[in-house]
Amino acid sequence: MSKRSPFAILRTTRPTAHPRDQSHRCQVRLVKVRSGVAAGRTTRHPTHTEWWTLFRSREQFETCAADDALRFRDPLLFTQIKAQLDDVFDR
Amino acid sequence: MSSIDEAASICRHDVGQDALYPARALSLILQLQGAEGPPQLLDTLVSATEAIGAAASLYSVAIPDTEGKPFSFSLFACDPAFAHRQQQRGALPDHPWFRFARTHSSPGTDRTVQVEGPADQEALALAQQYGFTSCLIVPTAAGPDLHRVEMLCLGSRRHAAFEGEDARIVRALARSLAAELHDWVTRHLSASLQEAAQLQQIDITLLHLEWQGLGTKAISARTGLSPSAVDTRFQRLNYRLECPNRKASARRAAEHGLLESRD
Repeated sequence: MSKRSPFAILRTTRPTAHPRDQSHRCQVRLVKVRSGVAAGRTTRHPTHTEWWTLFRSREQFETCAADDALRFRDPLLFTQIKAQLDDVFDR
Repeated sequence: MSSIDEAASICRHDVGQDALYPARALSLILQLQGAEGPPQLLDTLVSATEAIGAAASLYSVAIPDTEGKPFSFSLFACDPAFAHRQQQRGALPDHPWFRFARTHSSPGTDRTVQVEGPADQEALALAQQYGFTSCLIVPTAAGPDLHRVEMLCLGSRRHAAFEGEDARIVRALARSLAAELHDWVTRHLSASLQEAAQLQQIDITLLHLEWQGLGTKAISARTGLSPSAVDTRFQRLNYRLECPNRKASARRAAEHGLLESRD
């Protein structure tokens, strides 16, 4: 597999959990694909999980953000990701 | 009515496709191997899912805790709200679909999934809200002596959409889709582990020999390394693979598919 991707990596962000609280640490990646924006989350503690979803519209993201208290309660992260998605869907 | 027509009826109901859908679905399934990363794989999976006529799909791999850190990798080709709500509920490997995949080698439908309590009922009710009213679960074999569990779950908004003779082409396409996803994900996990742990070819050889059950002296004889060099290399490998001992390191490498090409 090539390491160079023709798809833009929109954002890679590391939310700031408490330094000693690794349970909520996760990395969020947003990648533009043909049919929308793929969002990948990777957590390393306590288990290593990686899962990907596809946002096909801004509304889908806002629905998830409203429902996902665990991750998007961080207002800075939410604003950053929303700005990136707005940029893609308004382009 | 031809067999294709019969099988296509399931798809027309869901997404309005015609009798040529198997060729289109197969074409998309074959494109999976060209995906350059998980985002592109998910994008193609979404297209293939729609081409098959399913409303949603989920592909997931879980490697349980066997002295190393548990691991899971999932692609949600469905409404993202389902992914988020499912993750809030708990670990996907605890889902009744996954339990089915752990205990079966052949595909089954929602009617064959055992519901063992309120948590299972809640999990299935949540899935039903997002296009999994009925579903087809395709377990994928990881290989002998491995604990890794994989499954593809296709969902439909219709009841019993994957039952009976009418759905046999859909079931065949689903098996093909699961097999292609298995191949891609195995390559991905293998490459990711190799990169993350900075494994060299000699490291992979050592892990492979350990996986075969060889001791230090036998590995030393096979590789030409001194016994102390073998032990030292394994100590470093254990650290890089975040495993407590060489046996766990070899298992981790095998579960991630790193040792497959050498079998």
